[in-house]
Amino acid sequence: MFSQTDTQLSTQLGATGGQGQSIIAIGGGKGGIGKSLIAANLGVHLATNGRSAVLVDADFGGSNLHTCIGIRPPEVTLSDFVNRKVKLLEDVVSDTGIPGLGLISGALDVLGAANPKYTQKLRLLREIARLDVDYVIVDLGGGTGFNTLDFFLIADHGILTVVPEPTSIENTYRFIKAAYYRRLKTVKLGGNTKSLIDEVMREEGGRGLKTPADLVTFVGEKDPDAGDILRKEMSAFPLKLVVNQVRCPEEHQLGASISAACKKYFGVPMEFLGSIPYDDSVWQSVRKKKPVVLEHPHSEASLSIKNVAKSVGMN
Amino acid sequence: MVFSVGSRSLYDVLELEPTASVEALESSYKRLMSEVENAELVLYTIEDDVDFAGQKAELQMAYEVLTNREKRAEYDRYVGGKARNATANMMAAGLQGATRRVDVGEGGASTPRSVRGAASVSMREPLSCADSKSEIGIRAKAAADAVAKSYGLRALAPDIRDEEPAPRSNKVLKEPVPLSNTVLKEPVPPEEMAAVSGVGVQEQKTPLGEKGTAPIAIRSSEKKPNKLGASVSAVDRISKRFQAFKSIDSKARTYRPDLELLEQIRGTEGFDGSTLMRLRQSSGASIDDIAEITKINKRYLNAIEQNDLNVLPPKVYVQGFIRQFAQALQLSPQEVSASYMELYKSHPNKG
Repeated sequence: MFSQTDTQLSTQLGATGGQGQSIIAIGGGKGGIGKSLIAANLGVHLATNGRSAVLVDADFGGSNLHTCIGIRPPEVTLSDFVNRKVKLLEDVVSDTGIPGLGLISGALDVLGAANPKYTQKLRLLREIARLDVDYVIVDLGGGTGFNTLDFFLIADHGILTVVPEPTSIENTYRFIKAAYYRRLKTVKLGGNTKSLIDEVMREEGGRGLKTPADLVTFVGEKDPDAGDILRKEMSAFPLKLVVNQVRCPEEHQLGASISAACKKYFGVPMEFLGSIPYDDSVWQSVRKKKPVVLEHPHSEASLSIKNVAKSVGMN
Repeated sequence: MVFSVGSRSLYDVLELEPTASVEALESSYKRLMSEVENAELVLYTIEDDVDFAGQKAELQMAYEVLTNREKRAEYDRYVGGKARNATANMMAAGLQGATRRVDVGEGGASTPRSVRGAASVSMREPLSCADSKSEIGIRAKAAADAVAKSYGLRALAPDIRDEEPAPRSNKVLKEPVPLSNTVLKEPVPPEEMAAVSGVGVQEQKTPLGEKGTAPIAIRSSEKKPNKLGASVSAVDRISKRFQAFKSIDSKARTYRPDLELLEQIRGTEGFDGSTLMRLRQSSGASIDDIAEITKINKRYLNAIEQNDLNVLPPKVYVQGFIRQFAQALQLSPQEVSASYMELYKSHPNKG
């Protein structure tokens, strides 16, 4: 599972946060839970507050972030950069009509573009980290594919979106586990420990290791130093949580509960940033292809999105 | 499901005192139900063993009985009688196993509170005491209070004092009354208590009678306010509660009825008193064993087996009894109670 290219990935994942820029990835493991909507509105909110931001549509197979902010599919897309039709990532940043906000559209309808090769991905990750803006907001696709996970892991803030439904919560846990295991690839460990993890991951479940916490305990028993490193990695995992489409007061408790369960069962801390209520203003503005923070700036949903931005220091 | 959590009362289920108003019952029910529902949503993929459906059914049952004036009055009368019987039995038995009675079947925080209550009343309060005989009486009251409390009957304690047979004198004990070996012949092992209550054990054993210390030293449960708030404690509490049940369950012997007989009964007669008796006998369990597991009075168990419905309390309790009886024999509570309650309905005075 671990290959020589891991060193490159490791370097890449460690090379974020330069130039005062922050990368925020919005993921969640399931489709239809509001990832694109939150990403778009965070971007619009930041731009209208005088900050520069670029939205990156990293949902390679199902790009539609442009529709969330009400523009036509851009002519240049990520696939032009990936296929080296253009040299610089800046060249595929489209204008959104909102001052200070750019959009890098996902690859549209180009066969194979939804699955960039490893080296193409590394180049993309590197260039994203070099974009000269205050914030890069990456909208991820569903699932736990390596491409999705790697974009999540380069972020300074990995925000998981969840809705109060069992399917969504289940996928969230799956995403956390997958992202944590993926992250372990980038940790520098002794050869023995690496092969130990490698072996365990191949037969995951076979040793009764159900969660990242189990893995850390297991490795710690064999090699206390390696256990410490893994534990440190776990607590440094920059996980955040937003609960979307909350319909009743009780569901506002859900975020804290999920966060507590994540800590308790997986050993991974996850900061709960806030809930976004289910609000008619959201679907109404989506129908109009307008961001809700512009269309209904004082709606509960808009205010909650602004609070989320505030809670990760974006304002 | 009325008594599905051992001796926890319906008031305990809703985390309220027996004096609680209907409004308080309603809001407590809503709060606890949403806590369980949220916890179910959050935990169901990572915690396989928590019986969320059972917890919701318990809350539902408690709510339905206690918010109905007639049912609540019946329940209070019934539970009051049961607690008084338990008290009388203990007095007669010189308190043997009193703490055991409090211990078994309790989940959550009420056990240590009751036990502490039993131990501390005799230590802390200056008590009227004429001779050693009345001293036992006082401890009997203290333990009985604890039992009463565990049934959710705080108000019962003064009644017991009034009924105290030993003469009172004006002499007040200045020293705390030490708990002697006669009081607790069967001290609960600390580790067992910790397993049941979910609290840590401070000391393995404290010498009985020395400086009036209680035989069971229990550190107060960790109630540090969690920064994540109420829902976090709900997750913790539910998993703790579950641990408590599991540790109790693992101690109980399992009885399984003869499967051929079970199939035969399923195919022909259905579940009534006589078939339940045959199933019980085939499992090797005595009425006493079932009473020990379910905490249902033997008189009622016998009445169930004899189909003597006149002896049995109102329908809502019988349904709970049948479910517990079924569970004790590893049978499906729904199946057995549905079948038995048909019989109940057809009875001229019931149903």
